[in-house]
Amino acid sequence: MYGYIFRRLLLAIPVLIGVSILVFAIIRFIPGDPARAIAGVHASPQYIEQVRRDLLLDEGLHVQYYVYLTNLLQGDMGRSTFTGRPVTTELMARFPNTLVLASAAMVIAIIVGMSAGIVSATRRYSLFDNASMLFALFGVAAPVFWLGIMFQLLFSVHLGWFPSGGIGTWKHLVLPALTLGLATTALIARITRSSMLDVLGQDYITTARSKGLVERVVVYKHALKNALIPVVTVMGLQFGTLLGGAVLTETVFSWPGVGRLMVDSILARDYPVVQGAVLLLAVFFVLINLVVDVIYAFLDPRISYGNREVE
Amino acid sequence: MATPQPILEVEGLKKYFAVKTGVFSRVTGHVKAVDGIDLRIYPGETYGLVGESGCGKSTAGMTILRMLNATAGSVLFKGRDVIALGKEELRNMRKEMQMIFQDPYSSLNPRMSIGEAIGEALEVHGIARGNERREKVESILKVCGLDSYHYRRYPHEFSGGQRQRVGIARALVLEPQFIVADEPISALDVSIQSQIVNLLEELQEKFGLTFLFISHDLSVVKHIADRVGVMYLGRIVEDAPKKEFYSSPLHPYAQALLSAVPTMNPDMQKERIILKGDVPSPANPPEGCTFHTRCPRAVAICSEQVPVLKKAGPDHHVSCHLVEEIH
Amino acid sequence: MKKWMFGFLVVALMAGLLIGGCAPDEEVVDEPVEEVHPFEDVRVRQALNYAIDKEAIIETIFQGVGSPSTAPVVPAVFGYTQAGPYEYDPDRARELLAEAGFEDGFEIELFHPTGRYPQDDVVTEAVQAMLAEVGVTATLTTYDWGTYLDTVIVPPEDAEHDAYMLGWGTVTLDADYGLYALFHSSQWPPANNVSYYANDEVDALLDEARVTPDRAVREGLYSEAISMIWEDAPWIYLHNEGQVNAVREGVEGLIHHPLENILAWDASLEGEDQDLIIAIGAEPENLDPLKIMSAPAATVSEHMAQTLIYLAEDGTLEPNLAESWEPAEDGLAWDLKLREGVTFHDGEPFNAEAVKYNLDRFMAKGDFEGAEAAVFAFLLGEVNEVEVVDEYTVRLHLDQIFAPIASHLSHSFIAMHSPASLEALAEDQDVEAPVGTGPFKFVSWDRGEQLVMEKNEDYWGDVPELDTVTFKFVPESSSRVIMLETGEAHAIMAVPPTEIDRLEAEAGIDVVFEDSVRVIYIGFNLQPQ
Ligand SMILES: Nc1ncnc2c1ncn2[C@@H]1O[C@H](COP(=O)(O)OP(=O)(O)OP(=O)(O)O)[C@@H](O)[C@H]1O
Ligand code: SF4
Ligand SMILES: [Mg+2]
Repeated sequence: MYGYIFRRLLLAIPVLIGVSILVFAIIRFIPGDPARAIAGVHASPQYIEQVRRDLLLDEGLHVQYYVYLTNLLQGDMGRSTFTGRPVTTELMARFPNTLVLASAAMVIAIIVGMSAGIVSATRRYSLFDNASMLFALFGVAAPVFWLGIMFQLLFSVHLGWFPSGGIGTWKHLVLPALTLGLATTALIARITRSSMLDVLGQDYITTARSKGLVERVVVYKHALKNALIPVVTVMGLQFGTLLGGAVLTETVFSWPGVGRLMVDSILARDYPVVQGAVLLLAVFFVLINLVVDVIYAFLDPRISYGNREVE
Repeated sequence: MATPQPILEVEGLKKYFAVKTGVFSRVTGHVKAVDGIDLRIYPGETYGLVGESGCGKSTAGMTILRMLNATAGSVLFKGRDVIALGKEELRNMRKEMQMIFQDPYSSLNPRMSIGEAIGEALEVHGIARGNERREKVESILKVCGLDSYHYRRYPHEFSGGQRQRVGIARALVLEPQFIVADEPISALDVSIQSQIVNLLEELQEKFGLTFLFISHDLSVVKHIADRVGVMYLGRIVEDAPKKEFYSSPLHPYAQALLSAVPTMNPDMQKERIILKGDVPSPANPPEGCTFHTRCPRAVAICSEQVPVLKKAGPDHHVSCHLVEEIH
Repeated sequence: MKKWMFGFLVVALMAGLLIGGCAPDEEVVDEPVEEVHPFEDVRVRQALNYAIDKEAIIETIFQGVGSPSTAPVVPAVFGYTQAGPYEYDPDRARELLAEAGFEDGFEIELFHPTGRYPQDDVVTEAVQAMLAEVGVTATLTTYDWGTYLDTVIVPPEDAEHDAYMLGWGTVTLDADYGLYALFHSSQWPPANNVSYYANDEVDALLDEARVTPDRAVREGLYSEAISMIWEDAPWIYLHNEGQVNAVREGVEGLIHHPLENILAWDASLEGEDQDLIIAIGAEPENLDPLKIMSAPAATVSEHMAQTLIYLAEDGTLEPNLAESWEPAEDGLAWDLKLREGVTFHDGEPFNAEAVKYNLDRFMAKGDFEGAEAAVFAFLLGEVNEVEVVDEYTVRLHLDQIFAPIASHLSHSFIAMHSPASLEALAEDQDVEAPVGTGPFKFVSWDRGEQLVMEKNEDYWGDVPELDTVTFKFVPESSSRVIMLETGEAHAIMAVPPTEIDRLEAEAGIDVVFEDSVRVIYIGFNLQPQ
């Protein structure tokens, strides 16, 4: 198992190098002078010159990349042109918030989505099934922005149950997590349902029933575990999407996360922070995929994570 | 020879599947997968159920085992109506009636080791647990031609033939008396098919098993079965002891099927009867004799009246207007 | 033809010849008759001003927020005089064009940014449509802000546009900052006179105003300059931006400043609770005088760290940490008399040394020679030395006479921080918890979320009634509105135009309209190549 994780980590390295090249390129291929872009609109000519020197813009690209990468490996992503603070500091101040939000959304999505999917699959075509699938359609289609504002109007303005924005108590987390999680909930519900239906139609479910097992055991022990593989795939991908998709939710609910930082930075043309945020999200995406792969291996004995060959 | 009591007696068994359409899933029709079949199977006997794909063989098998709920009819197993059993009684009954599937890949839970897959039933029925369970499983594995070290392995580590052995072991571990084997060899390589057929025969001998052997392969059925039933569109159109069936099939459909079976004996070479058209949809079967759309011998009455199952020999039943009933 | 217009044409012609002179001689000889570019004719420029329906733009694009420009600077600016507007009159526009010989219209290249000013691209499209009405075909080219300035702020020979859109905020509320930078002939690119406007008389007036200490006299000079610039029409004057804030009932005494600040030191809440919450759109980028550059940052900063001179919302200068400011005889030095008995929040005394420390740091002069100067150091560009005369007097020595210095000193970015607190900063570290003399003391700053301050019981002026002020950073405008409705905020800045009607109708909420300081315009390229 450890060997497997290690090998997967090694495989992640080329991906990360690719990402770093991409991020490195962003700043160098935007129109205009990269030094000016990084230094910001208001910067003095001296400062622009300094940035040019710091970035070695007059050297060859390979030298620039080498220096950029060495700095990066030491956790140095430069300074925000807007706030003047180190990019690493800015990101680390925000990332935990995004992680909390995305995780909360994911937890909601998993609990609600999977339950709804399972019940829908076992009571196919029932009223519950139809209602929840209609709801799922809505959940996937509803724009986050609109949804967020509707939630604010309903739960904050009219009912006064939850604050409309900000961070603090668990109450602050509810609306943004619901908003962010709804599409994922819907997606997971649909995937769970179809995957469960697929599995429930398999012979081994009939086999399980023929053993005289009670239906609950058949559904949870035999069907669910098998139905989980596509669901886990979706969850992994969705978690990445949630991290990135938190952008809108964080903006609507004034949630101080990386997504909002990214939006603010794009608006302020704060390229070093944009670079850093993209890089951070990409690294996390890669890590999540790694975790998903490990979960696969756990869920599915057919995936070999030792040295044993798959047939 | 005193006629023994049949172990399984099926009468008027029907299984309709509702066809639902639209957002609100309105029922707009029924697939008459099994449309009133009768059969009797005697202890230690193998009943071969044959027919083209989609004629309802599997559905019949599953309904008999009550893996599906019947729409109508009765299934008497050792005198008790399986259809009417309560949940608990049914779960107990499962010990005695088991099933072997066509596809050895999909009939085993990929996330369960062989030992667990086979042993689970022992535990559920409180027959054995722990070491005892393990011993029992290992011994049945050996009986089925596998090794005890296979206990810890997962299905994907086996070849198709081995997996079918696992499937058989799983079915046998509860020591059932009646087994529905639904095309147990048709997914396997030809080279392995005979091994499995031989295994089934050995086991039948050893445990005194009764089989409902579902197949579309008439030569295998000829080898293994004692009686043969031919299904067409949810109904049994001919039911006869093996010898009689293979030597003188009476129903035009059965004749057509048999004419397609290659034989070794050139003297026996018959002219092949080619059936025209496709099997009609069981959701909308033809009026009268359901076979009349394809029957080479159909006459006017065939499209109007449903032929009843008639006695055509001492132990031979056929439903065709052209066959004379004997009394 | 008026005298100054003649002068203008001469200058333009000379400039043209000068630039033409760069080309090989024989070409000039081959083509002695140069075609007159429409924008060289003042009637054309005025015509295009008449062609634009400013009211309609404000009504339809900004839901009524803002006002048509009446001068190149907004009314709140010291030195402003009402010169306009050019009333919408397409017939007059066509007449003038015909007089100038362009009855068949002409074609121009109009460059504009996107995403910089509210609805900038939509406004430009509206202008395009209105120009078409009088026969002028404008081809629009859209630029991202990052490349836009590099495209239009270029020497005349590199300009590819006939007209461009820009905005300018006179953030000192002193006409010098608005007029000198944009219309003085010494300020052609790379400085900000992007139209290459050159009028000797205007130059003379602006120069004189810079060296005239008497405010009343200066005001007169600016009025004259404004009238001339207005008549010359180097721009299509579009509109003054407006700002819209909203406040819940029961909140008294908030100041809505034209510099897009909300100031809370005189505010109070109805009832026991004196904890005010204001939701603003953007977070301060930095609270260090060296790095601060935006209005939201100024809003927050001003409550804690104060300026020497206070720029009131009506454009007047009031004593703040300096009680008086007087120029020396020759005008090359200004004496600031400081308020006595003021202490910083950390207990350090406020005195002349503290002022020198702060100003030197801001300008990177004196002990800070060689360090990086503030982004806005140009505000004190004329100051070459800060002298401590006595404990409560500082003298600013200027390179040249510069009358607007008092206005510049009032800029909220030039705020006084406790020198001890600045000393304590590590290298590379910015001020994150300002220690000033203001009515409120810094409590906490949660990035991306809020900044909290509490009342300064030892404040030298009237101690605020509020116990705390919290600025929440809520980027999404509709979310700010919702916070106001739920009572999660007592006041919000920048109400989105689409929500104005709804909020006005709502009981318990007041919508406050206030001019802002930015003028939006379409500038002509007066040096067409
Ligand atoms: N769950 C179901 N819902 C609806 N229709 C079904 C269902 N299961 C089977 N059918 C239909 O019932 C008919 C009989 O199917 P069945 O699987 O019993 O045939 P079969 O004879 O076993 O065929 P094969 O040789 O292909 O296995 C087919 O038309 C099939 O489509
Ligand atoms: S009844 Fe008629 S149609 Fe049916 S099998 Fe007999 S001959 Fe053919
Ligand atoms: Mg079948």
